[in-house]
Amino acid sequence: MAEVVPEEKKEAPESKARIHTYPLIRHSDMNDEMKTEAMELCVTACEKFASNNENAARMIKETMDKKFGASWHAVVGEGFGFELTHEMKNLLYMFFGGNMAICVWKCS
Amino acid sequence: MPSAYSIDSILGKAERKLSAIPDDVEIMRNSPSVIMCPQTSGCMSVQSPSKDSNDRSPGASRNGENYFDSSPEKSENEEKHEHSHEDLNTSLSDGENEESGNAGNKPRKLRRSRTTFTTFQLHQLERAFEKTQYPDVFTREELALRLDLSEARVQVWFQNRRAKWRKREKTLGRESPSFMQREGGLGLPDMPPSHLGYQSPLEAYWSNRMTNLPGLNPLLSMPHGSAMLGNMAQYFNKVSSAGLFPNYFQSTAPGSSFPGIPHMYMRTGLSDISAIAQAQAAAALSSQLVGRFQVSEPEQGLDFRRHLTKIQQVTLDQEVAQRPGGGAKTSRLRGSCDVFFSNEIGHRIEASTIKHTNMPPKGVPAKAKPAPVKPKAVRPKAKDGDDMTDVDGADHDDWVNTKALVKPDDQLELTEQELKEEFTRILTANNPHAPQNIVRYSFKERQYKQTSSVDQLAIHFALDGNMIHKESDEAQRQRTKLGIPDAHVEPAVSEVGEPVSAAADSEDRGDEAKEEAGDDAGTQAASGSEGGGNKKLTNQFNYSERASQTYNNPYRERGTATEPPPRAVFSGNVTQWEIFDAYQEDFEKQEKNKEKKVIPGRKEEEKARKRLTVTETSGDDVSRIAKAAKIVERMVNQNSYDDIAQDFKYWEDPSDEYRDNEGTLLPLWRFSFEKAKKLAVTSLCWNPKYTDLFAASFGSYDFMKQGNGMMLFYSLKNPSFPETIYETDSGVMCLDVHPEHPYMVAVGFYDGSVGVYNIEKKDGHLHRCTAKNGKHTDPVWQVRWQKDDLENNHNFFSISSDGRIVHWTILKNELTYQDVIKLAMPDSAAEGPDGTKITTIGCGTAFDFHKKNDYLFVVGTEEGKIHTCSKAYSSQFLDSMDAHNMAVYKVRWNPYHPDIYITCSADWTVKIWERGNKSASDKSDAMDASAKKPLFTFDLNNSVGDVAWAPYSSTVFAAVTADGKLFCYDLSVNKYEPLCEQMVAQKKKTKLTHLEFNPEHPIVIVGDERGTVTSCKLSPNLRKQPKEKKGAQAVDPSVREQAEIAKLDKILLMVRDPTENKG
Repeated sequence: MAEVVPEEKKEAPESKARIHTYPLIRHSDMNDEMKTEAMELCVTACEKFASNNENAARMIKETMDKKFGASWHAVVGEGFGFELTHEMKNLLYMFFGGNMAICVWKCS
Repeated sequence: MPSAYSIDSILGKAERKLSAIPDDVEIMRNSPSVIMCPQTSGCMSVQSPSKDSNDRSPGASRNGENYFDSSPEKSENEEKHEHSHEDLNTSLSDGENEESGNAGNKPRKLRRSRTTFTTFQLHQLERAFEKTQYPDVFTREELALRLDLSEARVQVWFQNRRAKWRKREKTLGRESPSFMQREGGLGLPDMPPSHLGYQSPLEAYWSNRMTNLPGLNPLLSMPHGSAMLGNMAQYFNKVSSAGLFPNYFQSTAPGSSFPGIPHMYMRTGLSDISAIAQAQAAAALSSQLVGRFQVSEPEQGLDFRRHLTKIQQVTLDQEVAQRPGGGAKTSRLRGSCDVFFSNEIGHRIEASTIKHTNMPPKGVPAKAKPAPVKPKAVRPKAKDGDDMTDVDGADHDDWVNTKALVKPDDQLELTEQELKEEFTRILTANNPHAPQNIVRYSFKERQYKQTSSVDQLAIHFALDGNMIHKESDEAQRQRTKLGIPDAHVEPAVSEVGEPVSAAADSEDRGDEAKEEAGDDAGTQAASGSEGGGNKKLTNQFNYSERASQTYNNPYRERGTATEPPPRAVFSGNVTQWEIFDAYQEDFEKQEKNKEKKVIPGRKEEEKARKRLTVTETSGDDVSRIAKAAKIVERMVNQNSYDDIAQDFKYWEDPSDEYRDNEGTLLPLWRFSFEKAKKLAVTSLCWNPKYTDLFAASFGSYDFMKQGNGMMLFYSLKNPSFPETIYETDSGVMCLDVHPEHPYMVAVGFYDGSVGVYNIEKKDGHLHRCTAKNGKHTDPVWQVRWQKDDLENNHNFFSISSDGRIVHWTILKNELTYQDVIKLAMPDSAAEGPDGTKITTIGCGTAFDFHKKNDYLFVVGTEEGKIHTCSKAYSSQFLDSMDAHNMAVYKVRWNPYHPDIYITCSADWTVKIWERGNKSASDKSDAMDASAKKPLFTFDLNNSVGDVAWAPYSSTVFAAVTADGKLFCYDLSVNKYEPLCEQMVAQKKKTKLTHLEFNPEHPIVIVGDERGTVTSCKLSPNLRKQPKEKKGAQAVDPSVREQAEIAKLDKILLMVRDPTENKG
């Protein structure tokens, strides 16, 4: 134990300095399959349009429309507030890349 | 229908031409008589009216002066029409034109040169003729265009060709020309047979007229057929013609005998329809005049004569009858009839048959013909300028004289000479006014050329229509003139005598024919309107509209709304620091997870242990492998307690051989249960069937520390854990296992209730008495099974501090009770004399049944008394004595000797009693109860919790005391000192509460007040068997029993004797 603890302590400050880039699902009520797919899509879109959030959102929205039926909405940005009404089991709120927030929901 | 060319008018005209009604000669005179030159077809001869009436014929050709030599002066008056008939001109240009032209008074003004056809033209025309004899105007025009001819030339050619063909047909011997096949639909299909070789005058007329009105040929455009005409006849029978043309004034030609009524000339075959119509019509004939004509026409067609043969009302039958006669007379009797319908004023229909017969050619026409070969010249027959009907009267006399001829009264009588007089007046179609010398510049040939074909049209005959439209100005004028206010409300003109007046009118005003026609038309319209114009008024009082409207179903909206998918509201804020925090949090979590993943290696053992415990405690999952788990558990225990087991089986204290009067106890397993640690062992009971299994009840003897109780079943094979655990809400003070049904356990509780458990069942609890059914009011100190009663019901006894001994019986599903005895204080009666009789109740604490006699049992009480009781006597003790100074804790009969029992008490003593002593005591009744003395008394220096006889010897018993010691006596060895006195409890202060010998093995279990049960093995000295009987050990138990009894008796005898000796 004595050996392990210092190691961990060393790791911790490093990790704090590190920028987290992995997708982090903050809130979602989707089923797992859908969630995974939506998350993948968001990552793809954000990576593809790294400098253009609007295009990323458009891509997410259109792809989701195709895959899961109409009326998806997507918000991609670094800072925003929202209060939305969504159909149950159709909401994904995630962070990505350390500074991006993506909110995807369905409401037709 | 244009008024001028209506069928009606046409027919009327035709009728007028062909069938002038002989009756009204005057009228007939007025009407223009048209004589056609059939042969040339283009030639039309109009017989000019007679001198006195010529000016009245409106229908006569205005060009008549050109053609009617006989009346040139009259024609001048009528020169209104400037049309010229070039066609006629051409048609006549075949040779007779010259003659006819010469015949006329006036020289021909213009004459067209004869057209010469080229071979090609002729060929083409012939081909066209082969196709159709009657090409329509379009075909002709097309042909003309192709052949570079004028349409008129083509038409004329066709006319001529037809004539030629017809002639040839005739010469070939055919009766009727076949060119007019019915299907041709051209012209008049039913030519009178008499016209063989000639064209119908009508046809000629129309073919001429047609040029006048190109594109409109009423006859051609009208479907023909005799049947059709017959139908029409029928139709006109039914419908008044006025009704048919309600919008028209109908004016008949002045010559009509029935002015105002159109005459229909129907030419029919002998069709059935027309025959029927005739029959009907004939049957309905009134006395009106009917002209029956037999018109004979000359073969050559030069003349067209009409003979009034007779006027007669005929029926059809008559007609038929007459026909042969007439036919006989005439050379050829044709079957065709002309039906003349006239709609009378009185809506009568007259049907007359007009027989056309071909008369043998008369001399007159033959003579008259300048050119005999071609009968083109037309000569009017009217000699005196009168009606033509007059003309041939004489001729007809020849052949109709057989019949009674009826002549009109005013028929002119002509002399033979007059009749023979010829009027040679040739009617040509040449328009005298047409210029013949027109020169035009031909661009084609670049020179002036005389146009060969000048469209000359000479109108020989024109007849205005009889009908004028109501709305027209003329009709208006006439109406105003007649004083008719309106067409609709025209009052019916009295129609009787109308014809007469009309006739008179026509005679009077000759020249104003139109007006007259209008007049007639007006009257006709009046009658027509009267006939068909009456509008039926609705009954204003009882009128219902026929039309009905269906009920319109009300519209209804129907819709369903599906439930919208559930929605939820979600809100949040995205900021960089929130994102950062979230990541941070998640990262930490991940780190923790990583740690956890690392650690398990160390903690594996702990987890394994936990799992073990989990599996042990978790119920359901383990229950499936309960059996296997139990086996494993026992095996584990067997290993872990192997030394104890070895001791249990084989250890015999070797030191016993060297000390005769001492024995030892070897502690073996210690049974302890966590939950029962704070409870005292209140009773122990070996299972009669499984000698390794015992039951222990746990409760509390402390009045102040009552709580729950417990019942545990231990097996020697598994000392670590009880086999079965029953927890109860009240302290269990005693239990007893049924000797024959080892699963049945009777239990007494501290709260006074008793219960029965079945340890085979999971729940186990079978019965428990309540306050309602005989529950004790104080703790139940002992329960004891009895043999099944007579009804095989399980039953047991219980004893309690409340002084009751109760007999419980298990009846199927319920527990019934019966009080056996109440432990009333025997000495209460003695206290009675004070006047206060208080029956004090003894508190039973222990009892035991006699091994042999079921009914007999001894009871120990808290007071230290011992009662000998019988089940039979519930109110009285068999014996009672003060055995101890303090509470009796246990009473046990000797397993071998029937009269010996042992008691232990809190007064530190254990006493052995003999029931047989009773009798001795009985003898000394005077002696107080205390005088009764036990056989033996042992003082153990502490409260004795329990005492028990050893099952293997009648002289060995053991007792446990509150100071944790176990005393073991063998009377046969030592009557005063215990063979063994040993601390069993782990601590000195631990009270031992109960003990029990194992019925088979040389062990004893001891319970203490701390919930621990200790098993001890008796050393060989403590379980000595009589040596002398060693060899006979195999002998049956009864012998051994006797030996045991004898052994005890031998000892007792030593004890008894002194007492008896004393006594």
